[in-house]
Amino acid sequence: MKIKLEINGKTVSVNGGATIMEAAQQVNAYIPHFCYHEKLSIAANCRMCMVDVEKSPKAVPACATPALDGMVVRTDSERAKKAQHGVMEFLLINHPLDCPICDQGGECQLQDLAVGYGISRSRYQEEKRVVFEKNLGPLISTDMTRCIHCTRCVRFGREVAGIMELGMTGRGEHAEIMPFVERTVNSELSGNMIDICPVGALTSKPFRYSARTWELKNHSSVATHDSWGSHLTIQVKDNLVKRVLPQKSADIHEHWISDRDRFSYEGLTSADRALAPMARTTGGAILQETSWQNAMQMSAQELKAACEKYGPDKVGFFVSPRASSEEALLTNRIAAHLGCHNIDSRLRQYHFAGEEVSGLDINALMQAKTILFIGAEPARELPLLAAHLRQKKKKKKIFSIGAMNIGTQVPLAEQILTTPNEFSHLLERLLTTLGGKTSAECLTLENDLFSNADSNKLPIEKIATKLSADTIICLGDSARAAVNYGVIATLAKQLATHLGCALGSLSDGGNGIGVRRAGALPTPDGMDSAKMLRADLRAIVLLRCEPADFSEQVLAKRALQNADFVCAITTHSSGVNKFVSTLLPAAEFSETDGTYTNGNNETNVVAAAVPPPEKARPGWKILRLLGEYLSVEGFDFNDLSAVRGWLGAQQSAQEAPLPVQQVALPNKQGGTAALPVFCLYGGVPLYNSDILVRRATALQKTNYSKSARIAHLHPEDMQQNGLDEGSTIRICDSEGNEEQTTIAADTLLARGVLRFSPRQLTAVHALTIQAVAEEKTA
Amino acid sequence: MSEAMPNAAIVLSAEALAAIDYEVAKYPAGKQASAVMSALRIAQKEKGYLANETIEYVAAYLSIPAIRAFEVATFYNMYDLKPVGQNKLCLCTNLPCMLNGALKTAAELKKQLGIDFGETTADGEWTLKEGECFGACAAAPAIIVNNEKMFENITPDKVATFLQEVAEQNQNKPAAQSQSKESTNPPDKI
Repeated sequence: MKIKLEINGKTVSVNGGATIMEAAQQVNAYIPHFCYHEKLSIAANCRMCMVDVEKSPKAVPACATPALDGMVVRTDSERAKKAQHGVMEFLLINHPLDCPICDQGGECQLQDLAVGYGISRSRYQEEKRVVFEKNLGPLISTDMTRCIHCTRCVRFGREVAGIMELGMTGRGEHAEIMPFVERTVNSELSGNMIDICPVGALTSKPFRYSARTWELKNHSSVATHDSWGSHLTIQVKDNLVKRVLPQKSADIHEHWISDRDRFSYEGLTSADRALAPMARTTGGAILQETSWQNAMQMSAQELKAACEKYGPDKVGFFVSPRASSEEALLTNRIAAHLGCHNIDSRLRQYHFAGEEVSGLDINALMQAKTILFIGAEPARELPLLAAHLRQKKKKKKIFSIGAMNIGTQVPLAEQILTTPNEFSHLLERLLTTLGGKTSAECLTLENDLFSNADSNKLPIEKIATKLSADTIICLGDSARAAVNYGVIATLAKQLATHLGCALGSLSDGGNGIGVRRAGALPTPDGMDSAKMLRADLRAIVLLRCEPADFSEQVLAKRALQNADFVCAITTHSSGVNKFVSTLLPAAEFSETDGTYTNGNNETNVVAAAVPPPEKARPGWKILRLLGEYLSVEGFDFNDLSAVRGWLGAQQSAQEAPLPVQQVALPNKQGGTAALPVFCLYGGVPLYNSDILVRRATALQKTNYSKSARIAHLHPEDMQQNGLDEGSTIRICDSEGNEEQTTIAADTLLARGVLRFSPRQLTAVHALTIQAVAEEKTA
Repeated sequence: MSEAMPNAAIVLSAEALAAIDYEVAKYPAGKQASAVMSALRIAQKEKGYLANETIEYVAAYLSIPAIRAFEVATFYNMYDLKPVGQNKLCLCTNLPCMLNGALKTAAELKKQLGIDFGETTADGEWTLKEGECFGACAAAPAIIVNNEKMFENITPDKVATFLQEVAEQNQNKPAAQSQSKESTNPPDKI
């Protein structure tokens, strides 16, 4: 129902239930406010938005007063102004008047509004109150004396971040915003609190005191750390990225970005940034700086030589899913020119036989009535998807089959906790319960090896009956890292086909879809990444990736070590400099033009915000030159428009799905028989996802990162194996590798699952653990 | 999220939990957070005061974030976040009481007990607190003892008899109750 009211003499028509604030926005009648935020609930506790309503005995808060038919509102009458001025004077009573030393200065709503609604001198002569700082962790810096108690941060935590970590304690003059007993704010979206704080109470710790807002130049960009592809504003001073902020948009991206997207820029200036081309001396001992020409010549020569000597089968290209589509395409062309079919960007997958699942159709997700997550952890993989699903008004039934309880991240209707080894088994049962048939290649499964004794009691039917054509099935990275991902993906596809519903993946990586489409996939004659690591390659080219980007880190290091020639086109050197023959310093995100495709299949063309540091160059220029040295056809272009033309052609050609290969399961025998076998969780730790994030210092200091460095088990598993919190354990795989780490309990994990990032192990799907006797001098 | 088994000093007795369940049942299913004030009151009665651990335990019992229970516990005056004495005197110092001489009463109380507002005597017998309006303005100045019994018109000259009365009442009356309190609550209250 539409109602009509008058604001400042202009007639406005709004839907019933709209507030005066919303109505005023339509006629551009600005009403000053602090606590009101269009994406948060209404608190009406700053009282700044007082307006004059005819026939009302006193001024009313515009943010909390519903607009009524025939209402006559004035935002600038004497009475409204008097109320606003009065509120402003009270707000400034306890607020320090030291804007020149406040980090918010210049972008502070209180400062701005004090100019318009405050008086130039304070009448308050008494003592101001002082509130002690709170330590909220490595990302948010506090100046709690500046807080005006708008509670935006508290409401953000409750409503968007889904975890209430801050609260307003005390009362009246003693009210303070604080966490419970000196805890830190750990939400993966916490940085947004900095944005919505209208004063300088919460500011960015990494950015603090490094620039003023008016010195910063804004550039539009897109985040490359997950397939959500948040739109960013990159703020630059002196050709350095100083800060990353969300770009407000009306669609799914809303106003928020994850902390990973916000604070990863710190990695751009890390100490191990590759700044100059390097080449190993002929003896092979020392890696030293050289000219671009030398490095290029050597790279081209060695690649050609390896192809001629060992054949192109012995050459492999690994492409980061964060690379731009152009970079992937040029790499593909170079590989093709050399006759090499070994190129892959799926570095965190063990098992490739089967269907490929990628992309996450946001439209289908929004319309779906039920969601089925398989091995997914939305808050870690796509933090903003989790934020979206938490919003109460979207009434969706969410189900999860996973190795971790995600009920704390999104509201769940039902979940099955199990090890990743069981996912395929459960999917098969879902499918058969629904009357679907599994195709022949899936029946080769030997599920019994890992079969959960209680699996008959699981609520398979309960979930199955709720699935329909209005379902979306989403695979997560814990599934992608499973020993038989191909089977899981194939079964998921069959289930989706049977139901006629959508299927998606959360774990594509920043531009995973883009690089795959641009050709960072092996041709049917080539090898996938897992095979390449085992194929004794003689020459390897790494495009913006390093061993830590592989799920099989040890094998990756071994392959790099054994190869005669390794060329790394990379942004950071520390992960690869032990192995490389030539190192070609590349530009990171924000430093290069590029095309990126997010999970929703939206392609964004991004322009560089800053030049690459020192001698580093954009990846596409490096590849172009390398191609020219190798005399690849068509590599004499001078800008990206030519490449983008190829990209368009490639995209339409590549739509045909890859052939489904025969499913064969790896050997699952593991461990010493006497010891219980655990399955690796498989999810990539939040701040370990890519080369840049691993070097973002503040993110590495968060509790998330700290907990990712040790191993976790369900407390009952720990008890059964006689392990105490914090004790040291030895983890062994079936190939005789072992490593030691500290163990801690995590009640959210499924039984039989070990959450841990292995560095030394090679066969990670069946692990045994043992307590290491502590050598104590009693 | 890893929560170890709460240590025995934090856990509430079965009776207290039953009392909390009774309060929770007054609200629709899923709205158990509404019972937070009653739950904190019950916990305080059993433990003598609300330690952070107790607040966290109550919050976990009601499935709400600890900070949300902490907000409530710090907002209201009648929740004690630190151990208090056997007799907690809460003197109203809001406007009507103050006009009727509450500050003089306060001075007399402080003199006789030898403590200031917010303090507890060394023997753990008395705690003096500043209260907010009890709605007993007609009988100002008013004092509430142990959150339960109100004493009216306590002018400075009546302070001595008032203190005696409170001391006697506490000795005679709830012997059984205070004993049971003691058994669940070792002398960590002081």
